[in-house]
Amino acid sequence: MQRLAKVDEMNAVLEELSSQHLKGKVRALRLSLMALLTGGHILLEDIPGLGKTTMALAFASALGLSFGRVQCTSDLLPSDITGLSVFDRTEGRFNFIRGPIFNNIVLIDEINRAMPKTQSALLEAMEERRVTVEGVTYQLPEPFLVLATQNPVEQVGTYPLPESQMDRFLIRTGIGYPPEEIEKGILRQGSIRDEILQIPALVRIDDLVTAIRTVKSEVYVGEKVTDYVYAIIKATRNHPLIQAGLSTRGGIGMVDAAKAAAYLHGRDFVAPEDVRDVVHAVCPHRLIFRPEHEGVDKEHVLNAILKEIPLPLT
Amino acid sequence: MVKIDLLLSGLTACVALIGYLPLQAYLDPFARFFFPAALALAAFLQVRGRALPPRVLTPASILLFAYLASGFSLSRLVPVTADLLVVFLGVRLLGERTGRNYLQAFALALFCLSASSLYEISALFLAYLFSLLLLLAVALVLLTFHADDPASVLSRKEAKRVLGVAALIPVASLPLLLLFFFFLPRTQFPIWNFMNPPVGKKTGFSDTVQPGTAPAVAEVKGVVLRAVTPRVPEQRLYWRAVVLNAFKGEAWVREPVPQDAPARVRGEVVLQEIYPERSDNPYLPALNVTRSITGLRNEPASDGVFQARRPLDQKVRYLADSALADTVTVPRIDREFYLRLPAHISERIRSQGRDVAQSGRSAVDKMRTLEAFFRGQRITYANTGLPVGGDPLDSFLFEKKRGNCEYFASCYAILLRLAGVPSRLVGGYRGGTYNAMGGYYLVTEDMAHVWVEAYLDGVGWRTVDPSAWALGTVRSTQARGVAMYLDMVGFYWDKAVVTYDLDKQMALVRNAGSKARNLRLPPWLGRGMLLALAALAPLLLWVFWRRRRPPTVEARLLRRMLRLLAKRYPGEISGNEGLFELSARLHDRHLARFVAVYGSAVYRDRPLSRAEAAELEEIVREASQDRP
Repeated sequence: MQRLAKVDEMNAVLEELSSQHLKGKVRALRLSLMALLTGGHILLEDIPGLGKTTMALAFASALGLSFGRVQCTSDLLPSDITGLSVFDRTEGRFNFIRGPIFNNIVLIDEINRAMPKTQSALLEAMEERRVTVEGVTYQLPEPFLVLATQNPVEQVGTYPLPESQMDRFLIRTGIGYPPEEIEKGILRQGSIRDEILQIPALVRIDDLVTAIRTVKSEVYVGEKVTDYVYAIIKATRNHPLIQAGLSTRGGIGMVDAAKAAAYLHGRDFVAPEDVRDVVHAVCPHRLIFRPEHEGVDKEHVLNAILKEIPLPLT
Repeated sequence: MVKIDLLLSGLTACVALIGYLPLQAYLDPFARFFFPAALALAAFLQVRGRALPPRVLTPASILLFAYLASGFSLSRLVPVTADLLVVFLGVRLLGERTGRNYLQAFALALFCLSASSLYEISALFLAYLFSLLLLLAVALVLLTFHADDPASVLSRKEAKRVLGVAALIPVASLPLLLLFFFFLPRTQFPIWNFMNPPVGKKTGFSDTVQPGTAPAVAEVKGVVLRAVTPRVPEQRLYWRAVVLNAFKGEAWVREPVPQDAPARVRGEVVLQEIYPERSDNPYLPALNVTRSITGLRNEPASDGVFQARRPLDQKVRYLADSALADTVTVPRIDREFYLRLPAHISERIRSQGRDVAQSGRSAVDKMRTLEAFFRGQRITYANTGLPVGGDPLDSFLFEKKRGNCEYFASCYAILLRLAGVPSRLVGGYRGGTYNAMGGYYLVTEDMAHVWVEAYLDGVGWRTVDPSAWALGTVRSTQARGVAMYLDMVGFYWDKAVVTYDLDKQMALVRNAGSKARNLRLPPWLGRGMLLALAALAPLLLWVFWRRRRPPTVEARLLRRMLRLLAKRYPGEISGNEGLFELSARLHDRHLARFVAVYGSAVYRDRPLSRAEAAELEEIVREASQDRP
């Protein structure tokens, strides 16, 4: 088995970030990188103050990518994200001023506070990887990753993302509180926001693009794995508590994420455990429960489903 | 999916068949055809999910019973019972499928099988019995499920488990059975004996006789022994235990027997199987005159006394061989030894002795004179108000004129010796209660007795019981009522359980072994079954092996590796973990190599190449040799 291109560099970035700057965020970092490698987007759902922004910033600078940030409010307009044309009096024509979305990594803070119109504009850009303003289409940079955050507690004055739009995010995850020792260390040290801006780029954009291409074309997805993925999808569709199971896009997402996971493990093929590894990040937000079972913990249901389906070992 | 109800019905049908088949050849035509018809109908009803209601079945049973019982007579006891059992078994199958009915069917099938053993017992019976036990155990386990919910359904896997475990019960109990057969500790008392614990025994029998030490003798009813033997004429019921031949002061004691010429006894030979109760003295009583005792280590003496080598402190049994005779033929004896006198003899007795000595030439004459003297004294046999004091024997003969066997025998023997006739006392028991049901004599402590043997020159020792000359005493000799039954039950407990020792067990095993060798299978069965087995066994083995063996090389290799790991990391292999996960968690270098090769083939949808398979083989081999 030959080495996959740029695996070591990617893992080195993860290692460096999680051991030096962003202690206790390994999982979120890994998932973010996986999202980046597969060209998907990630929704971080957690209470404020756990370092979502810090993580996004550090992530961007360590990968040597440009970073844009949008703080959503209820009066945020689509053009505040995409950019708009401004008349240049000296030249006598409209000049397009690019919005924050024209960056490799875009942090959309508190996406559920933006009004639905803005949300859709954003989601369209995420899906299409291009923006059309006043009839002109602008291609978004490559690689492109949207890191949206959402506060699950706040309810007043928010426009929760409908399930159909949640589906656009490849991965949804929380960050969680850091482990005790690490949190104490952070308390001692204080915020590292300034420090983070100084993190040197650990990889070049070319490497990243190569890695993305490798994940896409070099990592093999075998029949056993697709069978396994399909078994999971089917189980969610037939589950009595679930109204709508995983969509085909959800299945594709699972396979893509599994490919990234396999890539990060240095393998050029996906093993069933890669799929199971990513299920909890990829699936829960796509499941729509029956109204009478709204309160059921999605993770639990998913765990029960996974337990039922044996890993195909042979 | 396996329906418990269906499974249970099937098993019950099998159980019923096992009950019916061995009996089938001996049944009345009606019963013979009724059962298969009932079985078929039951199967039909089961398929339809119906059953005959009790209001149909109960009258039907009564009618069938009346019909079959009409043919009942003492000579046709077994056939009618067998017919009834089979017919009721058939009826039971038709009834509603409730736990109660199932249990009744099981019991009836068991009865049918046991009934078949009354007709014929062959090797097939064992086969039937074992399969019945196996099926019953499984069926009973299923019945618990059925009792919980008659409609319960098991998955194939669960059903396999349940059946496996249930079948394990009888299989596992077989070796236990054998183990208990040899080692089960036996209690020394019947289980029902706790209600009347045995009272501390007061000795009615002792190996010294000294009349006049106590004014009364307590009648103690403690059991001394039980002897299985045919009835013996009442006047012959003397149980010989000890011979007292010398004096120690005033008391009769036993001294080592002088080397007499060997004794011979002629008479009707009676064999006894004797179960003595525990006692402190080592003497082994048996019918007078005992010739030999076997079955227990003992020390015989030439005067017909047998002493056990060790005290009878636990329940034992022995076989005694006795000849019912008055005379023990001994050509020569040590006359002087048997003529010694006690230290003190009263003047009246001495003069009486002289009178007797002068009354005749021969010993027979002297004995006749003495008997007349005793009868003339008109002595009462009594256990109370006995003469005591300075000279009890004198008082017994001439003043109080009452006493028990000790006085009679002691006086008689001393008078004989005074008259120059060698004599000795024989201690033992007189009489016995015959238990006609059990066929044994029960001897109790109150039957303790002492009598005399007098030596007639040229003849031998002649038995004389001077107590018989007393003014009559009568003893009942027939056990009656509940006491007899209770004693018999206790006796059989002793006989069958307590004294059932390893020797007998071994004998039983040998016996069973030799019987088994002689068992004959029906000829068609033996040959045919052997052939069928010979043909089927490899086929079954092959099928089994094929089924157990994973179908592909990959799966086989993986299974070997996982088994190896399970051995090396006990409890770590859950089976629901990916190979790469496992490898990362266990940090096992063999596994890491294995999964790298294995995964890159299996998860890339291509079969293992020859080289890869060889490499994996090699890894597994190395891993199996590498002991961490």
